Amino acid sequence: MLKRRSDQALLKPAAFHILLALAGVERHGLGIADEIESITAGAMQLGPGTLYRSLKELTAAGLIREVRPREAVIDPRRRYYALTDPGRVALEADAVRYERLSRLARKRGVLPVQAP
Amino acid sequence: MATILDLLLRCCPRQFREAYGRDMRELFDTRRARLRGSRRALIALWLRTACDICLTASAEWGDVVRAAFSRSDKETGRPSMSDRLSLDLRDAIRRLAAAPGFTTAALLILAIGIGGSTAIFSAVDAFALRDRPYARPHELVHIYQDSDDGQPESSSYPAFLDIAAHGALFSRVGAVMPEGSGTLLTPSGDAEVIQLEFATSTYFSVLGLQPKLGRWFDPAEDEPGAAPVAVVTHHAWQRRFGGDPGVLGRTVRLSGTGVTIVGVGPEGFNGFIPGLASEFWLSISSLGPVGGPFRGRTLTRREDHWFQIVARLAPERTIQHAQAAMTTLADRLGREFPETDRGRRITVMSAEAVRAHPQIDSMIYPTAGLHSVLAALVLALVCSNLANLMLARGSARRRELAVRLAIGATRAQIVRTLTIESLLLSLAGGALGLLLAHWTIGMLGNWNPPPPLSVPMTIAVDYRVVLFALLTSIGAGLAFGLLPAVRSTRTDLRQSLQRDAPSRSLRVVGLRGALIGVQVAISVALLAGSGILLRTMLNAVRVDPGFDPQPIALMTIDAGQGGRPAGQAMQIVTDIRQRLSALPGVEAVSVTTRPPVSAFGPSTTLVLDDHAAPSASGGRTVEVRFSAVTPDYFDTLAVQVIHGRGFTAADGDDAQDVAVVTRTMAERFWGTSDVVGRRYQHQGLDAWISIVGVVGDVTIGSPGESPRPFLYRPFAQGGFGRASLIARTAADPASVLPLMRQEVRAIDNLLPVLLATTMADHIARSLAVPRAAATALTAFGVLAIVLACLGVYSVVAFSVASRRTEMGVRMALGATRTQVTRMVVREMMTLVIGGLLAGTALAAVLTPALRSLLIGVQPLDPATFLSVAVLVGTVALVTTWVPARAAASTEPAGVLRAD
Repeated sequence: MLKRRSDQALLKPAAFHILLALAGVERHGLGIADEIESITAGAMQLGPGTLYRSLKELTAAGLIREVRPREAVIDPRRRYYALTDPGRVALEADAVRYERLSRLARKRGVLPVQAP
Repeated sequence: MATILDLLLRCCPRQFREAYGRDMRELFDTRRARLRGSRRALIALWLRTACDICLTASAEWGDVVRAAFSRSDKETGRPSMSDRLSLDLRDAIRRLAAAPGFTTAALLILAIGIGGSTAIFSAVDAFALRDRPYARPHELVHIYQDSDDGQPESSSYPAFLDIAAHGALFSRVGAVMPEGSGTLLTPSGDAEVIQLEFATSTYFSVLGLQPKLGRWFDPAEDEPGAAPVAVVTHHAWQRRFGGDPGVLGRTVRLSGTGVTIVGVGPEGFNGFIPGLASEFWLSISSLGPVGGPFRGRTLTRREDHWFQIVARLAPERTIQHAQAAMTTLADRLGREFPETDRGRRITVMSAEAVRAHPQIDSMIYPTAGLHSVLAALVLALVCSNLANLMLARGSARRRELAVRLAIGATRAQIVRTLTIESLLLSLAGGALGLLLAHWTIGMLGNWNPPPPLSVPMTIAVDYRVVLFALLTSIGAGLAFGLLPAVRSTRTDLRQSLQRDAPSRSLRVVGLRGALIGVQVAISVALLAGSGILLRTMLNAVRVDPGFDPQPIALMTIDAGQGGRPAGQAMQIVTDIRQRLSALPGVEAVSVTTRPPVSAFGPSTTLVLDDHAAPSASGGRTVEVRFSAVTPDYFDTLAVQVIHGRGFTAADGDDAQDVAVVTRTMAERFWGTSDVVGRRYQHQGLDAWISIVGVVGDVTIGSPGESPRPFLYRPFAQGGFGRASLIARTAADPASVLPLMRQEVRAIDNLLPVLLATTMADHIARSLAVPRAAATALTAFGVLAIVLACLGVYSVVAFSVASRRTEMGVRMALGATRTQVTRMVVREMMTLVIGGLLAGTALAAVLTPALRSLLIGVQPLDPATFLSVAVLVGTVALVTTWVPARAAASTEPAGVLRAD
């Protein structure tokens, strides 16, 4: 999925949510799945296959990387992931795009206009 | 359930699985733990996860394949084959999705066929085929002392010691007593009857086996008096202890005795009989404490033949040497111990020729053969149906293929498309089938079969079988998927493109017709089997057991375990009987050492008085089954006393020995029903026992048996601690059972309750084996007939559709609708009748194998065979008539004008 990625292509929803979950904090796979479930209020539950395949591809594409956890208390058997700079850029680009789209949706009356 | 997840993960490429498998499992486990047992949510989670992992697996494999191809494409410079392949794949998926009816039917058929035949054959494999895990089996021999009638059977322990003394001949000799049952006190305080084996310290080393954990027995533990120790079988370790390594050193209470676990057995060897799992091997030193004084005495008695001997030949010794030495030994034993061993030979057999035991083998192999045939029938059914579906689809696509050829597709391209489609279908069906087989076998493994089979089975999915079933169905799918493709790409394009072109594919109809014959035959064979088993069930329900089971509750306890003296144990039973009599809703309670409808129980050998008719050999010695009952037993079950009297309280321990016999026993041995006053002796004892009454017959073993001779003795004169309490209740007997258990607990908290059920359930359980067989055969039979009907319908519909012109001409020339309909029906019914005849013949070959399960019906029951043939024939006739009639209703002028 990332092979054809250019500046115009949107991230897949799973990838977008994973990057979002990693924004500003390192997490392991289970933590990412939990975070996504919590920020979408349970609407998005990534299956184990989808999650780890996405992590594999995002790592291969250089958008995230495996890191050694900072705190000693953290379970050493687990792999932790963090955003890379290109990952942050991609996330930002998509977030901007979503913002633009929701603004458009508001203008066309799809979404209620926000109180100023 | 974890194994299913394993299986799913196994679908992923190895690299991915190794990198992420553990994490994926952890995620799944965490989610499952959060569900807190909600069943529906659990199923949803399973489905979601299964889909997710399958999709991921296919995507990952796609990456792997693409990577492989893109490497080679770069070198050759040709257009990427992976692109073409993925295009074809996508195309095939689209096509299959566009025909959901066909795809669903084909997938279901494949899944049922592969799953069903794999499950059946895996069971056959576990019982009859899989190699036993012995080291160098060609050196191993089994040694049997023959039974009284000269068959290799089992040996006495003293004979084992004599054989083990042949050091030059055998490098090691071991012995095992496989037929031990004991009660295990479970953590919840219930007593469970489990299967035990008592083995010598040499047993494992003879076979070349190593315990997985801990140790096997020491030579010191072959001596009575040493502390009782046990090795738990791998199967029981997993099932009962969750595979906990901490089991070593733990003490379990077996039949009232504390036994220390010192080891865990190897995987793949769970006891004497392959396919069944015992729970513990116990040391010879445990024989007395756990098996009871009766078994403990066998170590010194040449009369008791309980042991199976296995030996490893010393280097350069052959089985002939061993047999010669054993014959010499048998002669010597015959001289030294004439009363037990005169004329008793010793047989040596190679371990490669014996699976469990010659007599058990003779039961295993025919059953296994029958089930293999069933598995083959199911597979044949599936292949013929799949073939039919593919042929029908191929014929229906002739026009589409012709269009593609006309616009420039090559034949190779079309054949490739169809191949990919067939393969995709077969693989998806195979995956579903594998899941189904896993599920079925998991259920079988967790199923505790009823007596006489109440030993857990150790069946695993046999992947060779899965592969075979998968290849067969892929083969069938490919062959019959491609046949119409190749044929239609050869046909004249112009002709195929014409609407209603006269069919050239009569050969296809011929082939499909033959397939239908096969399906009809299989349906008849399966339904005939299920028919006679269903009649058995009906007969069994109708059979009068000799008493009314409805108001009866039944509880079996073992008060004699842990070496408690018989008198004390009987007193406990009597006390419990008294407490139960006082329960509200209980009308009467009595005690028996063998409740009616019990497959197993003791028998005794009697010497009858001179009034009895001598047997064919001139003696008056007979073997009969018996039970010891309390005086009110016949009243409780409302069994009629025909002559004389039942027992009374006066027939006590110190009174004169008396007995009551059944009418069948009286008539068979004395030739008259009134045998009050006749006498007999128990063989080997001097005392004469008088018969004081004759009672009506009740079912002894299984429902529907012909009445057997049976002897009753007063409980006070011949009872023991393992006894059943029979309670007649005013209300539902099931409601009294918990109260009965409470009363037992009140007397002795550790007293094992082996059985507590209503008499009606007890009888129903005794029919579990024929019922399971009937259910399986009926399910497959109904499946077969439904599939056969689908086949008939589609062939007839296809044949009339391609012959509309011919019919139009016939009707234009004056044929009536009825005549045209009859013509089509006649052609089809010829095939169907052929199938009916073949199926009846097949059934006649197969049903005799069911003989041992049947009650009141013969294996070749003409009424059943005829009704099955009529049923299948009628169904086929209706399915033929409907499309034929529809075809004949078309307006001839319209059809002819369309040409």
